[in-house]
Amino acid sequence: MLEQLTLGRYIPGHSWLHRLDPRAKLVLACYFIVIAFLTTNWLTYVLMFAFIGGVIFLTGLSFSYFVRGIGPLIWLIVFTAILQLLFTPGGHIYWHWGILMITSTGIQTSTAVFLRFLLIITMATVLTLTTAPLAIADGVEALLRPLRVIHFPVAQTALMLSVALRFVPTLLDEAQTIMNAQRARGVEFNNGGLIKRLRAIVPLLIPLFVGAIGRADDLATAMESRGYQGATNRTRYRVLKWHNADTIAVVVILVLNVVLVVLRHM
Amino acid sequence: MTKIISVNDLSYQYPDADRPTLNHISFEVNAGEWVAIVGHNGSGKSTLVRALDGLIDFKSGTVTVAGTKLSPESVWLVREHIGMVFQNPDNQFVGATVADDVAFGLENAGVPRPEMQQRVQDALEAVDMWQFAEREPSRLSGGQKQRVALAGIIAMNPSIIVLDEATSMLDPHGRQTVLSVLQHLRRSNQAPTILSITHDLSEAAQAQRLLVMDNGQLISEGTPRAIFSDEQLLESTGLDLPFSTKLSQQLAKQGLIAPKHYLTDDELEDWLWQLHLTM
Ligand SMILES: Nc1ncnc2c1ncn2[C@@H]1O[C@H](COP(=O)(O)OP(=O)(O)OP(=O)(O)O)[C@@H](O)[C@H]1O
Ligand SMILES: [Mg+2]
Repeated sequence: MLEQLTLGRYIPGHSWLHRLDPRAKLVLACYFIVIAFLTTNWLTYVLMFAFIGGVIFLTGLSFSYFVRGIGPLIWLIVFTAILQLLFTPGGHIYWHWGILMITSTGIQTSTAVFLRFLLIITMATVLTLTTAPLAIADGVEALLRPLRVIHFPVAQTALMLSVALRFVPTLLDEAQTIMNAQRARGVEFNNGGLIKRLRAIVPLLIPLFVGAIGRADDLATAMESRGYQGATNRTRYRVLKWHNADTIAVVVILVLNVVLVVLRHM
Repeated sequence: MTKIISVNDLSYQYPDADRPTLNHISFEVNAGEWVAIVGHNGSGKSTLVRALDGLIDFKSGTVTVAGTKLSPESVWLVREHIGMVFQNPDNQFVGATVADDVAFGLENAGVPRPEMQQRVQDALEAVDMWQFAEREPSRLSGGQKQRVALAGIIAMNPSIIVLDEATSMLDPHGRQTVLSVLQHLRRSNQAPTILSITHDLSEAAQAQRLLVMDNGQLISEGTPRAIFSDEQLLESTGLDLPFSTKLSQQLAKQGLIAPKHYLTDDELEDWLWQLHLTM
């Protein structure tokens, strides 16, 4: 059950995209997500999908990783699109029943919702598949750094994020151990109706939480004993380096933006 | 000899406990000495070493480390002298990779980056883990994590190293590697003082002095030889007997009386060997 959580998993590699600076990748992904909302006509969609196709190609990863990454969310997207389809009034009415209706505007907006979500999720998947969690944390820290001006605790937040990421596999392992222990005592996690399954989760969550709090306590002690006094005056072992490739990536996304705006008016 | 640690009449009770975990404890450790703390589960060993590092807030007694009396004001100064490896290697792994974790203490101390890189590499090489530098902790075995934890301390080059069952998950070979790393450190010019908690009596036997804890009290201290010869003490505290002592006892039942004092495995072997010659 837990192995299926491939969403947000990092696949090590040496592609051009893997080697990009995490700051560049974060900027790229966020920028792409924002301009995904500028799509209007089919030309703009073709452009965006062609772009993301190119990006997928550059990751050097097999397409099945993306299918698996997007798979669990596709139903959410389809569901949202169907809601849009059934509740949007306006334009020509093809069908209606009570408050439900299918209209020409509904078809347009639901298609737009579906395609935009698909673009966004694919881009997010590209980011997580090609960037180690630690690198993402470093990138976020670097990008948030200007917030220090308003006394936002950037370094603490970054450390918190990287410690949290470091404990995800540990907690997953622990969940697995607890599940096995419960299974050995006759609990069934994969059978029965929804209510029964949810009920089986409770005896999993409680020991998991108790364990996590104990760990947090130990970790805090260990950090203190190693001289951690908050983020002041620390030096950094890991530093990010901006290369030409990163500048190129940023230029490419700006060009994409310009082309997109031009196509909107065609 | 200069005293690097002195503990005077230290007592402590956990807030939610019904009896004290540390009960009027006093002892001293010389600079450069290797002291092992033994005692059964729950006897207060971990609590004692935590007190030295200012990690528990004790109300009665004093702790002095490297001439500094432990107080809320001096606690960070004291911690600079002590490098501590805890019992559970999983919960002391701060970094997202092996190298990051070893660097954590150096980052806190504000060590410049080029020097930091060198020290991280040296420390990881010392424990034979450099090839794992980029690994995430979830992909390491328990023993490998313990070695990384030790590397994190070695990199800091503290004057006192405290090991709380830091070799408990190591196989005999790994344990020997770690022990020889420590022996090697001790031969260097700033030989650290070592305080190690252990249930492994052959490891304890390598120390210069043993402290025996029972029920929150320090009930005995002495050389490994003296402690291991005191069978009554060992039995009353529920400590296991070292292999050579057990063997001598079995031999005694067969009518072969070995010398009364504690012998290391090698010494017993020699004794048996020579006995054979004289028979
Ligand atoms: N955080 C805590 N709160 C309350 N009681 C505690 C806490 N930690 C330990 N104790 C209690 O204090 C006593 C001594 O614990 P300590 O961990 O010092 O023993 P130990 O000698 O290190 O044992 P072990 O060999 O199992 O590691 C035990 O009875 C334990 O239950
Ligand atoms: Mg302990």
